[in-house]
Amino acid sequence: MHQALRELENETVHILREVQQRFERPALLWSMGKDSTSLLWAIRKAFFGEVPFPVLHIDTTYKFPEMYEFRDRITEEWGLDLRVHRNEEALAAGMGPTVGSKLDCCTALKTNALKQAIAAGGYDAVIAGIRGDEHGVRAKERIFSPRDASFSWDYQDQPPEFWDLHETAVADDGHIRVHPMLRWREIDIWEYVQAENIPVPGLYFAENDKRYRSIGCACCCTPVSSRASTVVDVVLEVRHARDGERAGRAQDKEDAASMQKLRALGYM
Amino acid sequence: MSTATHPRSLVIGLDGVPSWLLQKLADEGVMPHMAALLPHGALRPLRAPVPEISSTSWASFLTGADPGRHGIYGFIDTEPGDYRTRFPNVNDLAATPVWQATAAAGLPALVLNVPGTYPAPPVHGALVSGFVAPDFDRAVSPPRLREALREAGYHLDVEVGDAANDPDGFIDRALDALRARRRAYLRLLAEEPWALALCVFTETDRIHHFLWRHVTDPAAPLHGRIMDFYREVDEAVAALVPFAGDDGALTLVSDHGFGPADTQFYLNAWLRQAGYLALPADAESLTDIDERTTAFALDPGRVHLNRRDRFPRGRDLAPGTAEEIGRALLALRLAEDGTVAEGGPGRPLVAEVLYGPELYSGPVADRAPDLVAMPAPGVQIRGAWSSDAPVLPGPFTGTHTRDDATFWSRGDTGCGGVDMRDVMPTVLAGLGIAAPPSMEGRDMRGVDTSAPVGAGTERSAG
Repeated sequence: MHQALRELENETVHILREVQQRFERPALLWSMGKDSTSLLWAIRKAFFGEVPFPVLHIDTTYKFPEMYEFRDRITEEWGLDLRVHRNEEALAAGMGPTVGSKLDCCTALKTNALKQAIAAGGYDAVIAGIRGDEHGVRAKERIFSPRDASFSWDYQDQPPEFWDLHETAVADDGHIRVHPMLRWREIDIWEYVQAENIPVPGLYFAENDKRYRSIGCACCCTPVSSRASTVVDVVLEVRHARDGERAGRAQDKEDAASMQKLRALGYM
Repeated sequence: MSTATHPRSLVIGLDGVPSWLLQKLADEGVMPHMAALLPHGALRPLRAPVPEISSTSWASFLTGADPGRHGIYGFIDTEPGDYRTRFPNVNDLAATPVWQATAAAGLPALVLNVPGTYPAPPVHGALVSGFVAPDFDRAVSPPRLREALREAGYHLDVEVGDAANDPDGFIDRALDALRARRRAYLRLLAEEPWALALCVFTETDRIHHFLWRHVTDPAAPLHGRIMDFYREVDEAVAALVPFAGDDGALTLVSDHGFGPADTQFYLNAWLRQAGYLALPADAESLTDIDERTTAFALDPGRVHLNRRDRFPRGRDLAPGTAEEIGRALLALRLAEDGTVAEGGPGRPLVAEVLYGPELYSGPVADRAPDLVAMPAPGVQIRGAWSSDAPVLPGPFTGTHTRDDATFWSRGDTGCGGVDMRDVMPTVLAGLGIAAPPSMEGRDMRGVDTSAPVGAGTERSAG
């Protein structure tokens, strides 16, 4: 493992041990994706092969079948205290990606299911594998990120995190979200997966020139064109195309808008 | 150099306004401020570069150079050595744009809504990109000006919508955009430091594309509304003029003229029909071109030969292939029944064919089209590759013209035509700034050009 990756891992381990010290009922969110699976791996390294927290899977029931198989296999191999939570009420009412908007579906089956899980388990800290480079707003996240009783996150009112001083105090009725991998980038995850030989679902590797860059509910994931069928291929692809691919997606959108304009004015 | 003591230069752009229309509307009392202003200088016809479209012509404006130097040959171009298409933008300008010349002289410039300036580059001064600018946030430099523009209700461009079926709604949107531009320009001119300001109104061009008939025909049902629109253009120009001050330079410019259009000619469809283009009519891009292709077209009438030395599936083409295609284009006739045939009955579609090697020179002339079809009166040439009929009806009643754009400069005693390349060297001379070496044009103030600009430099086939 190269030095920069080792430093990221050290920071993550330090944060995880801090959580273990400071909180009474922490829990880990595991989506079976590469990020939270890498986080599980780091937890096992931090606690000498054990995972000392309950592992929550918020199950929308719409995940890829491969993800359920992967979950069950890893749970057994690593001896996880897996707790699967579903919003049974919403599912019973027929909630799904084709009912209402996708946002409604996410709210019911992910956000509300997580609220129910946290209430049921009485967790005071929830550890998640989000990365700062995933999305613009995530760059505003803190490693220790307070949520109030209504679950809301006021990104304009967060404790500062100067140097490595983390504010871990939590209001009585709230909980803390902990993001030990906030500083990791997509390429760091893949280099970690490669260096440590971490198992990840096969959906990430190309079959028929398509692979998934991120996985979740099968209905809402679109594969990207890729021939990367091994971890080494993926590392190379992400290393060389990371910015280009993201820029490319924005560019496609801009090009479509430009073409529409030119058609409207009769140039094309 | 302090901007407080330096004389200012204000350039107002009126996209797609022919000089004769400006004079006519001034004479008829529709544009009274213009009528008062024009006698203080010379209103001269301006010749646009080829092709006579906004992206190319405004690039010539910004750089004082032809496409052979600035590299913007149209709204769309192919990647070098490939059929993949892209939208050239400000980063593709191969010649020095004016804001670099003013910055080198230590003077701030305001560059507002000049087409082809997206994404907004950092400048000494400020820049708000003009058409085509898909993302507002990337169209404003520095970003702190976004708020002022939003407060002014500024739109980057008019939403055309269904202009053919709801022309009133379209005129309303054009008026909204014009008023917001006026508000934003007034605020930026007042609040930002500048020595040179380029303020372009593009709503005129949009109105002309869809409603040209109503501009020129007093009996057309929307003529009154269009005249009201021009009254507001006149008011907007008059509101900006005082910012030039009494001793500052003031220039009016347009990028091309306008004329009537009733025919949409899809050049690629004809190339396909004539056996020059081997590309399925439902192709989504040019990348499906196969090796039997002799030529393909990009907007509006640029024809590229599919040469082996230039494209991956290029061919060895006989000498004279460009001329052969040029002759065929000039012989095309549109019959009453809508059929297009070489030498058939009916009216011509192509007035003139210009050849790249003779038309363009400069460091990026190797990217030039091999030939450019110039439309016959009444014809708009289009670059779509997905049409299989050469002539189709469209919602447009107007199209660009090349030789009757607008140049007016306060205090100018010259007469005769001006070339778009001359505009920026003239503006810079007014500011006392040396034109960068890549600028080809010259200071036209007081110059009498009795012969047409550019005469004898181009060959027309046939």
